[in-house]
Amino acid sequence: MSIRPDSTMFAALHGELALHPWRDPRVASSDAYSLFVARSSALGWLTEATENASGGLWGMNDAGQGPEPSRIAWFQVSLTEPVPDGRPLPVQAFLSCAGDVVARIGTPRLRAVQLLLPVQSLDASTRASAVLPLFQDAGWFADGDPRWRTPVRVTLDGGQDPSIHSAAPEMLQWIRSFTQDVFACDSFSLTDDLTDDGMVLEPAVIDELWRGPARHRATFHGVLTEWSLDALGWLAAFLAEAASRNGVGTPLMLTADRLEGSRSRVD
Amino acid sequence: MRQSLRKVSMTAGIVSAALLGMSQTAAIAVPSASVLAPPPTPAPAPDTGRAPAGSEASLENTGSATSTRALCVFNTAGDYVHVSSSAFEASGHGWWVNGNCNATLAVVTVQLQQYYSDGSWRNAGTAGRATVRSGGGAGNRATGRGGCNSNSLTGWRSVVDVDLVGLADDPGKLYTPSRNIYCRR
Repeated sequence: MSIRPDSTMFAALHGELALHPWRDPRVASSDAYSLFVARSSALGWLTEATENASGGLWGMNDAGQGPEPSRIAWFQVSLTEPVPDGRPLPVQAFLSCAGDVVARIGTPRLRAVQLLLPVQSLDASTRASAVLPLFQDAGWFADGDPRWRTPVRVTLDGGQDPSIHSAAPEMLQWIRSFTQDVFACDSFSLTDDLTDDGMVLEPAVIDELWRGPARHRATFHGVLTEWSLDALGWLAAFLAEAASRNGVGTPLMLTADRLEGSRSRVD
Repeated sequence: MRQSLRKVSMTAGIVSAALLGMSQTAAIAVPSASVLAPPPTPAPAPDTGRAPAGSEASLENTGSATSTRALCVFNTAGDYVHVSSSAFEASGHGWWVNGNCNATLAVVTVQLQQYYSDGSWRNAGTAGRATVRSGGGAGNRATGRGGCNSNSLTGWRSVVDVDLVGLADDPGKLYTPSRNIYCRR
């Protein structure tokens, strides 16, 4: 019998959240955790924590808000099955569910997203590429308002694993080899100094959940078709696939923020 | 939510006898072995998604309760044992969802268990116990925790028990699927 380690996926949404006026957190019976369970169950994405559970993409781990005010909410799940051949990491569904939860609590103004991506669960040596399904999924973003296009900066941190450094140039070529309109990648840079490029988000999880602490990083600059959790989820899955196809086999901490002066679809 | 109606006939005394301590006893029933055999150690669990055969009786995640009025149903719920994002510890939550029981509160207990090389599951860490309302929302979950002594890959699961306040309910507990996480006590 095989032994399969857990694959953890984590998201932290940063920005501001204006609570709905009818929702009093002191008496509310729901919270980010229960809302995420309810929403992902309703949409068929939750695998129940029972012996004979079937279906779903993830099992619930935890969720919450804060502790710092700028962290709107955070969510942690375990992938319940190996990522199916030919399918990407389910990050778009994950962030979509997170977005639904936050929208039940208040009106967010999203500044940045941090994601722990279990790239190790995408074994490029044994899996069929998931890039074609991603392009089908990209159809969701077709015919968007051109004014929604948003310059973004996306940092992938492998922590103590340095493979992202050697993978980054090949990832850029790989990304540019495909025709898609969701993310136009302009350039990348390699820097291991957390302060060099203005990134201020410390990893949102303890070192033991990935190869922390933060260290080996690559930052991609480009234009995202819209500043939304859906688009960020697509981009994260795309970059995870790019990393996996180019030699990265360990978890990556992705941090995405939009550059100053850009417009948002969701503001 | 899966629900099943089962006829239950029991007393509060039977319910209380089925508390977690007895569950542990059942879970660690081990075949006799040579005195020279090395003691079992924590280990990764086989990827079966189920408890190993023979380690305990099959238990359901749903519950039912009897009252003087009628039979009713509720659901015992939990999540996957995981390494916490904020502390190097294993963690698991439990809660309940009311169907039609005439109860407002339930005592939810979550006990984490670690898999051992002899195929047994043994309690690990500190059980979480809370008297909570239905639904699993804010303040209505119990949390079991177990600090990690190392990052060795090890099988974990949780046992969630729900006792409705004021009603006698069946002794069924939820055993969550085993997860291999980088945490060992």
